[in-house]
Amino acid sequence: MQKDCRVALQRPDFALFGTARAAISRDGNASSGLRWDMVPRCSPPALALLVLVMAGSPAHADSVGGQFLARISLATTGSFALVHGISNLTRTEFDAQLILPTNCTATDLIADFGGTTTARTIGLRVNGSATSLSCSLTSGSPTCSNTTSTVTLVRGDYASLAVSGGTQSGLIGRASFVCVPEPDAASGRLAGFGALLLASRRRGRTPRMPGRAPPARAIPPVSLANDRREVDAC
Amino acid sequence: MLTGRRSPVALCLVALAVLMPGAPSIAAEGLFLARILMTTAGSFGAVLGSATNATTESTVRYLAPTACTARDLIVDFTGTTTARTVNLRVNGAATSLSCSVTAGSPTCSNTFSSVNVSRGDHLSLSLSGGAQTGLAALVSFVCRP
Repeated sequence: MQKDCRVALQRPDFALFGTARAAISRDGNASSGLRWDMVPRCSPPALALLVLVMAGSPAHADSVGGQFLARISLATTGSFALVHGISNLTRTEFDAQLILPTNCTATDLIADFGGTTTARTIGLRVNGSATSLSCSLTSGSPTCSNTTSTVTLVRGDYASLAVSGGTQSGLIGRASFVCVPEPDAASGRLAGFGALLLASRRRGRTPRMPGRAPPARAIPPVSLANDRREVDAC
Repeated sequence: MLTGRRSPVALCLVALAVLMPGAPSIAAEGLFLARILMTTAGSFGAVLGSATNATTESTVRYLAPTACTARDLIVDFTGTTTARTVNLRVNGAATSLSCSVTAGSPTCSNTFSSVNVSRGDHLSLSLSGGAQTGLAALVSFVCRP
């Protein structure tokens, strides 16, 4: 005997659900002839929850990446400085360059040149070229920030800061920015796999790694007595 | 005999994973960028900032603020006239995170070694090859929680 059933999988602890078609074998044994032929449907609450969890992962744009904090003495002549640590202005950019150990995206530049008597522009330079990550300040408004520009940095790049406006004895400028690590595609898949594992544990199924073709396999026998609780209508 | 098709829940979640590939695993990483002027005969350097090399390791040690795994060492010794080796040291001991350069090939990288660093460990660099006026070593690595 074959029978089509609508099976609702609305478990109270997990909101993913769908519809199922059940075929029951002639001998009435639920462990035989039952086909799992579900059409997937993600419930809005579950979807929203997963989106929130994944969007809240630490390396998104609002998270903390590598932090570059520079303190620059403007007592010397020049227009270049280190992107990290204490340095003096230098005329030779080569002397202000640091090598980057990882790929990341530089953003959120902020600068404070309190006490400056002249307008200045502070900018990130990569491999000797200016980038869009810069901001400008004046003597009347000696701080600035740039939270809109992003610059992609690659391991092995040489980074430095450019500071315009020249020498001013006794002036200390401060500039900082963050460099958010490049999202790792493999990590993303692992995150997805983790969510899948969580859901599967709740469903008692074994997850598969995303991206790999799932092998056809038999589902272990399921007790009808246990499943009946989930059958809404037949 | 029971048979099954692709898990429906998996389909939903795989779709999410594909649509949101940026869900990364890195919470925050320490970037150590150093510029070491090789003006003295010292063989130690600080792991961050700009400083000259030192003969006494204790003068260049920094304290690790958190446990992390140091890796991805990259070094640029452009202008060196001799072969040199750079090594991360933890609590005064050499580690596997090192790489070597020569005058003809003054840059090196080590992306295969990793060193466990504990909160409170003392970090420093060793740089072989001695003094060379005007030479600066650019040394960087990351330390991931």
